[in-house]
Amino acid sequence: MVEIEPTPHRFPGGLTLPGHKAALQTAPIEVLPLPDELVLPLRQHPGAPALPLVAVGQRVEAGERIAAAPDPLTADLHAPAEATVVALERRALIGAPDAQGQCLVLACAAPGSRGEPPAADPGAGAIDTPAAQIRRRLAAAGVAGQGGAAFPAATKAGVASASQPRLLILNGAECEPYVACDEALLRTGAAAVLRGAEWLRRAAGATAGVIAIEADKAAALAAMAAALAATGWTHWRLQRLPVRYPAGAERQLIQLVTGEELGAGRLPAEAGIVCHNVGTAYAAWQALEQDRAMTHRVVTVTGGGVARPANVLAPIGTPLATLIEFCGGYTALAHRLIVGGPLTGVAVADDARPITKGTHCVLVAAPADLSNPGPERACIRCGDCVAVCPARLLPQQLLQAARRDEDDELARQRLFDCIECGLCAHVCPSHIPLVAHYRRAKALVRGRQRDAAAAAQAKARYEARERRLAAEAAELAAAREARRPGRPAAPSEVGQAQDRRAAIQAALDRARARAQQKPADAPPDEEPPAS
Amino acid sequence: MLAALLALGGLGAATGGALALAARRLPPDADGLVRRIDAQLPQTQCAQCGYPGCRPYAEAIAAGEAPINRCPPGGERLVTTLAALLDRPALPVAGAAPAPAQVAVIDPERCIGCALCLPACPVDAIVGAHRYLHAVLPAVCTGCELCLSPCPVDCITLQPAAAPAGSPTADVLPARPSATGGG
Repeated sequence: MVEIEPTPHRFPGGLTLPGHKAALQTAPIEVLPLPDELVLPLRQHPGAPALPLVAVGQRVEAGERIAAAPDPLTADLHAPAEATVVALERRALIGAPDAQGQCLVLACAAPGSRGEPPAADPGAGAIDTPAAQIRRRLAAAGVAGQGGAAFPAATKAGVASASQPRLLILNGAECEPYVACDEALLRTGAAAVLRGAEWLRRAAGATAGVIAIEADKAAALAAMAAALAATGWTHWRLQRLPVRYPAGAERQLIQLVTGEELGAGRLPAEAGIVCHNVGTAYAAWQALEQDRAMTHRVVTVTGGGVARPANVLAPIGTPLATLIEFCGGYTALAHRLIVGGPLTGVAVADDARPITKGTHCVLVAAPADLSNPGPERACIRCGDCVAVCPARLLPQQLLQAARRDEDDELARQRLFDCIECGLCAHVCPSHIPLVAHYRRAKALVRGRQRDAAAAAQAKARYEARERRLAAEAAELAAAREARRPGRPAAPSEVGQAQDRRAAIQAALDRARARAQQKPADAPPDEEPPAS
Repeated sequence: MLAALLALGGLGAATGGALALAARRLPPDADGLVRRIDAQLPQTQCAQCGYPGCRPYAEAIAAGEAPINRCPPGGERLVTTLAALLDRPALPVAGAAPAPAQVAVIDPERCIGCALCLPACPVDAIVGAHRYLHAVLPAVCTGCELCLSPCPVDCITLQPAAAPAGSPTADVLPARPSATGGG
């Protein structure tokens, strides 16, 4: 049996929150019947939108690539099932009420059919493909991070491999309340997840691996211990993390596992560490051992507002409404629809919006799931937010800076070190939505940075144009000057003019000679030609 | 007492004299001021200020010939910055209200390839040649509207600029629930 090591390390701040996931900790993963329609947003990743490869009306096979990534920050998109492309149009997306984006809309050929549940037998072949080849296959399968940001796994591995990482951390912390999809994967498919993690470790060239799981997930820990024992791999360790939110945030996770606190702006790759989510590892296993693109994912559908909370294996592009209907529909208590966990998620305005590769949780909150924050009151400087901030920020000061919206002050308060974990707003006795202020401030600062870059470009082009116009004007003036009469001619011009005059004279003489020869009576004006 | 008065008075007179001399002899840093003002301007080169571009406007401000509130694209934020930089009172922005970012778009059905819009563009964002279809480079266009009036067939329109990659508008709304409540 493999030893489950408790981690000796801690991270600053954080809070132990009630999990609200007991009901989902024993249930199996349920498979969603194929919906009639799938809506696949072209922008699901940090990079530019994917470029569609199919035309409206075209038939696509299950797993067929339907959109290509234009840059390494975007992953390829594949059809989850056999379907017909019925539209390429703007649809409402998860995010702000007016969030929209281009989507490929697929009408499934066999709606209602059931996909496959997660495989129980992960196989046992050797994992010895060269790293570059693994990364190519990960990219070809569109594997992207399932923890939320949907960062392409191949790019992450490629960037990490350049720095020869010492450690790959498989992130099974799943620290946010209500979310239970990673745990479900670990319980039911630990061996496949472990093999996927080994593929990812090889792809990044990391020398060792750690599987980190929060202590309240006993079944997941046991399943992973058994899977690890079965493989006999000695370069993998299994660690039990304290139940403390946000243990699963990248920097906090690294600190829990290694004891190293990454300074501001320092990337995990620079410390020789690469982190991957459990769901991503499972998708990597599917890509490399089953030759399947990342077209499905496990989503937790939960909260007091849904009749039968469940972990659902659903195709990417499934509308939220379909998921909720599958889970028994809304209850009378349904109050608010949140995509993502309760602390980091976003409220969405309607349930027609589709899930993406990064959607891990759909929370249909009942009033009891939400604290009733009441009206926002003035900050009383209690300091509770400072105590819980895992990024060692001063949330009150940051709030003042955000309200004043001054770039210098926001930079001094390290706005962009905020990981938006939501704890400051959660503990605030004055119900100040601090994270909302920070998100807004970040959006404004990024907008100004973009404007500044655009201004610099416009300025450079304007100045280049001014120089060109000045050069053209100078050239024109010089040419005009050259043509002006009464100007002493240059020696070469004098020579040319003489040559030209001589040639004209010779031609005239020849013409006259001819005229003299034919009509002999015509008197010559001048002496006969010399030739 | 007298020594102290003399010493301090002498020091003051000497420093004052040196400063007066410096102010007269050393040239003012006009170009540096122009550059600092120009750095704050939005560089749309739209000429809404009445000057042919951002740099000429910056020169006019530095020379004290132009008020600081003539730049609608810069908006209130620019006036505040310039007021602080130049120690002048902040004024309300003159002219059109600041519009959201726009780019010019040429309707390919109507463009006759006359090339009249090409020299009007202050940032060379229009590509084309005589009797060939023109097009605007959207990544370079500043939305200054200067190409609209030369067009004889009115085939250029201004359209809202596409949201840039990673646009944060989608995530500014918080969910703001609590994790401690019932359930």
